[in-house]
Amino acid sequence: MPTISLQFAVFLTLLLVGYWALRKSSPRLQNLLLLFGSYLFYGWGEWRFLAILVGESALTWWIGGRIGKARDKHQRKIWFVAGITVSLGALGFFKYYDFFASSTAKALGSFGLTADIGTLNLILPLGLSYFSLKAISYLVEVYHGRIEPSSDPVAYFLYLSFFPQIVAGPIDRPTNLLNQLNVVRGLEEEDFYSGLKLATWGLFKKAVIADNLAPVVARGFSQYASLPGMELLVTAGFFSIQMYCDFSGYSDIANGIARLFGIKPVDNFAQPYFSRDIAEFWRRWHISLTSWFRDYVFYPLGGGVGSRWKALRNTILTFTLSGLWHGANWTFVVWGFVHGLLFVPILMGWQSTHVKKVAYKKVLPNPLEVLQIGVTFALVTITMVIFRAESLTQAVGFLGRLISNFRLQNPHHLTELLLIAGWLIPEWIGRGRLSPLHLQIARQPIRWAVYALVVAMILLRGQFGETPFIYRQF
Amino acid sequence: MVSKQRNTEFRIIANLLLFGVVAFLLSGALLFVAANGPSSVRKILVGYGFDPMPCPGWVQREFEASYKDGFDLLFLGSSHIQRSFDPRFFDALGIKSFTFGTPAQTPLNTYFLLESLDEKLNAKRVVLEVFPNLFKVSGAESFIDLYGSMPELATSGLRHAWATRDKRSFIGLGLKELRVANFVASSSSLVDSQITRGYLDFKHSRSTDFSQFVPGDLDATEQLKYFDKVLQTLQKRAIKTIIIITPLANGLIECMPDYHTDIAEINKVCERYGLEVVDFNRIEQFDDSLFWDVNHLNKRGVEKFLPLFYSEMLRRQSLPSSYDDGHPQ
Repeated sequence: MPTISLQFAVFLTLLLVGYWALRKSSPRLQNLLLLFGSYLFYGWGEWRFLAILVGESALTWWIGGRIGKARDKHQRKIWFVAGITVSLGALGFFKYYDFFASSTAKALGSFGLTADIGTLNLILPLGLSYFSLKAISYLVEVYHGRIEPSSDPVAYFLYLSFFPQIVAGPIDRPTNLLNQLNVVRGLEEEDFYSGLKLATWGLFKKAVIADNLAPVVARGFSQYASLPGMELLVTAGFFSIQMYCDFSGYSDIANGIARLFGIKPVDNFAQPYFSRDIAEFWRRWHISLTSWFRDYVFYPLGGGVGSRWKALRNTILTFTLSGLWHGANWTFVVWGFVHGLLFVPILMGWQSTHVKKVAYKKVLPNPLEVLQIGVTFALVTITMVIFRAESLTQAVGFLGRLISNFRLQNPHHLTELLLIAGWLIPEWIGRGRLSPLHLQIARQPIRWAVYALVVAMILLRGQFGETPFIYRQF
Repeated sequence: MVSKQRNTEFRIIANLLLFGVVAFLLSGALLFVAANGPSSVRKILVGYGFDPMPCPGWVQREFEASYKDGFDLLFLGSSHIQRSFDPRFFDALGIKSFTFGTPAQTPLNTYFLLESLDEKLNAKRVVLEVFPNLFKVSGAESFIDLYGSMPELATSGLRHAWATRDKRSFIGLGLKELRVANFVASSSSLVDSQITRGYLDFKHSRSTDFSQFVPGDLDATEQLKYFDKVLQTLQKRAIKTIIIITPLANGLIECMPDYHTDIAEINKVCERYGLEVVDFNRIEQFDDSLFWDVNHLNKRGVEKFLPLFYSEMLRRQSLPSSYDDGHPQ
């Protein structure tokens, strides 16, 4: 079911009414209703994928129980490996089989060898990349004894399928989400409004900013060979902003909706474009995925402990794998690899010391911070071109033409630039808060005027349902 | 405890309702500013110039002034029609014609236009243009143009807007209703010359840049349904119908990946009514020098196309060979 649609609005309203009517009963009843709603939401477009979701939920829940009951360490490990194989197996088969089959055939072909490795043209089940990582997270936590295996299949099944998170995350942890699902949720007025504000700001970012930039970006990438360098620079910059507003917009909508149900999910973004170096950027961008890879890939590999080369190897490997997670295309692999490389200066001794918020206790950043933010944004934007391109050839061609054909000229995108300012200024003012709509203004009429202005802009300027959420495809 | 929870529910619902009213009023106020402000403000606030071409209102007035006598030929369709069929060419042949094309007119828009015209639709024959790309758009652009410029069509406005399933139609409707001055009265065109009876000519030439062409991406089913309804309406009114595809620039068809599949679907509907699509691109080559832009013929193009159209219609016996009394049988 599309998240920005009339049917979703009706679905959400009915589910909320039913859910809050059950708040005096047990958490299990609330969970049952949410599980039913989540499966309905998930199966709306393609009900056959439900079998994969239910199958993986059932298997990993059962294996989690086996790990908990295992008599010795060896048995625990066997069940743990089995569980990881189930999750990674489903992900690997549906998402990467065709990619690896064709890449292997190509690689062998370049050595003059022929291999008859057929591709299967598999369709990636919606949300598989997200719920598989959630399942792995659960199994790892149970295996290490940091949580007890879930005794309630309804709560666990809901943990994997919770509808605001299933198609594009955030990738919540069992220590956060599953724990909340085990207790009854009451209706807290402030949480409810907080959720509404967060979801509204997310919708603004998606419908007003991202989707109004989308046509300019689409045109820039499809016709890059004939466009001037300045237009390509605008395209690249717009894509960075489109990407952020699209993805963080979805995360805000998802987290806002979760709060309407009394659930506080993990944060996924923290104004990453105000970062002063790449390490800070990754602490603020797609936090749930970055922390997942940090905890379950980077640290087990040895993390940053040991020699610099080891730390560099682990960093590059982690980022490359995280790139591959995004999709079966070399563009994502290279994108991840390049981000790993961007850590080289930090790992070689230049310390990332940005612990405090940018422009801490000040209205504006100082010149050095402006420079640092600008450089970080530029680096991210270059890598975003690789991310957005359909092939590495296109990415190289795009960046090559941007440089070789560059001449300063009027970008002719005043409307889009004004819209960007309409997002950027509130985002700057509201940095460090859950969203810019979480205003710290005492007078209610002023707060309401701001909220109403944002809603009016969504109604008047928003594009609805024309551009799907970018991270839905992963 | 229970009463506290009920109070919470009540407060949330009351606040949401009250906020809904505030947001609605503010949206209305912004729409009012957009409607009465300059085009640049409108573009920022609603994302679209929403400046309808000045021609449709003018078309409507002319149409009403002359419809009582009826027409031998009424041309319906998009700007391809509007900028190709010069009634003066047909005057010389003794044929009374009227060009009722509007920008990006889809079958959905044609259907509502026919419904609005109702008894004013006094024509012996209708030449209906089909352009596959317009089967894959919502119809909002043409709705805004028609509704903004033709107050007479207001009765079907809401149904027409709803049928497009496009938010822009409602914004266009709001802009029209909130605008102090009439769109038509306040509009002037920099690019068009209004010649006569709906026919437009361009004041300036423009280069052919196919990158400016935006292919439609909606499912064609809805527009095919309305196309069927249009043919049904014309059949009921015993109006002879001629379906055509006007000349298109060479590169344009390549910009529409599903062009031939879409034509096949359109043909299927036509066959149900014993009609066929006359594609002028198959009859004659029109090179790029005959086009004003990717979509529209220039003056020389029109001068080449109209005799071709007439002779092809005579050859197919779609038009009678003589119009001596101006009332063909």
